[in-house]
Amino acid sequence: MFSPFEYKRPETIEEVFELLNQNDNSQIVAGGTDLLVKLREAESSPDFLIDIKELDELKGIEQENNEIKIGALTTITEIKENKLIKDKLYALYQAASEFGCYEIRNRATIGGNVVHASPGAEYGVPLFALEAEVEVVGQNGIKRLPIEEFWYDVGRVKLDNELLKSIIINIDKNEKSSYHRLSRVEGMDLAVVNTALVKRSDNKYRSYFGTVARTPYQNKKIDAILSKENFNKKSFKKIQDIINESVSPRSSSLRASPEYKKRMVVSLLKKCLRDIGELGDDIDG
Amino acid sequence: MAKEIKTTINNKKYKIEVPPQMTLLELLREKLIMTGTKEGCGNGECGACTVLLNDKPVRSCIVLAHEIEGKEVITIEGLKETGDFKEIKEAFIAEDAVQCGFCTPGFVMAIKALLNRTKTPTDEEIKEALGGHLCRCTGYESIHKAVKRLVK
Repeated sequence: MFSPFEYKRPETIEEVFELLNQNDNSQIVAGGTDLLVKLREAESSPDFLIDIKELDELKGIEQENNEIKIGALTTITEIKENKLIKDKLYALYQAASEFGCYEIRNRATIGGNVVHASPGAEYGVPLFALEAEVEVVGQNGIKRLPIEEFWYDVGRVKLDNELLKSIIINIDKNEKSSYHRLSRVEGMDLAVVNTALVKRSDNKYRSYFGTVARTPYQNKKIDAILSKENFNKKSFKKIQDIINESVSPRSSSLRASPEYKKRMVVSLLKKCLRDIGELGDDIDG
Repeated sequence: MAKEIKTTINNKKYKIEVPPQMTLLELLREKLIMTGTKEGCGNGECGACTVLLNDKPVRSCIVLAHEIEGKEVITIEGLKETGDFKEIKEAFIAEDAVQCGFCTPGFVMAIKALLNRTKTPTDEEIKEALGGHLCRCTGYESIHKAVKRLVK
């Protein structure tokens, strides 16, 4: 058993704010797949545990004009099984397929994954590459901000007595996307490194790399190389050089050495390019 | 403070006093003495504690007991009452899919959930359904074969 707390299951967003105002030491829980492990390890000992699973306003996937809106409480299984996501935002489908395992996907939510802000989170690199925005709801209403502003450090997101309401992606700007990760075992593991690539409708590329920095990492020089028309084998050498010079993953990582991570993110970038169909089989190594 | 919850476990209705910090796994094993569900890692990583919550397989060590209010839970004990259990058991015996048996209840629940979703799962679907379950004895091959036997 965990250390004692009071369990609350509000049915409206207003009730959540009332509870948050009542007690400074409150903790929101959605799927609980990360939080319950933290409670067990006593990394978190809240007075109030506020279970928001019943808030229908935070659920579901819908398209409004040129945007797809994913409610924060949408489970990973729901993302994986959604046709709109698979057709328009393939990287998010791929991330759902790699995520945890079947049982975890039934409980874990995309919002939980984002607010947890782990450096190798499945929904870090693809959402950054897709230029996602988040909708945050507070007592004074709803505001919208870019994900890289919201998710600003390891385990840190901009929430101040507020809730992440949804994640919004423009589907006109993003033409094709791909996500790959490397993990020690396929069945149930976290990413050693991960990479996402987006080909935009203006033929420019955006790439992001995970676990090599405190938050998903982008280097504009790499994106410029990817966006050049005469992209070839030598381009990867240049990309590798840029990665080697610009990131220094911490050497205390439990999963891989900095050198290995730097090599692997570039290797995953090749996989992403193959998915997007921009790379012939002749480019390898 | 403990609070009474109403729930259905293995098709039987319960009204139980549950402290908020109790997990579903602790409720099953320690309060209701349904010890068929096993605790392996306690962190949601091994799959030994898998039960069905409203027909979906979940890891009961990372579900709070309070979350099952108004919902239906099926454990390995509940499955024992159904025809499926006998078939799964016989397939496990035929393929030597059990050695120490500690992971078996979790595997059986995941297989039951898989067969509820589709009567004819592909190899990929079997791997997806069982991929998050650890077994340190069998090497998995025999468990996979047991599921294939059920599909035939």
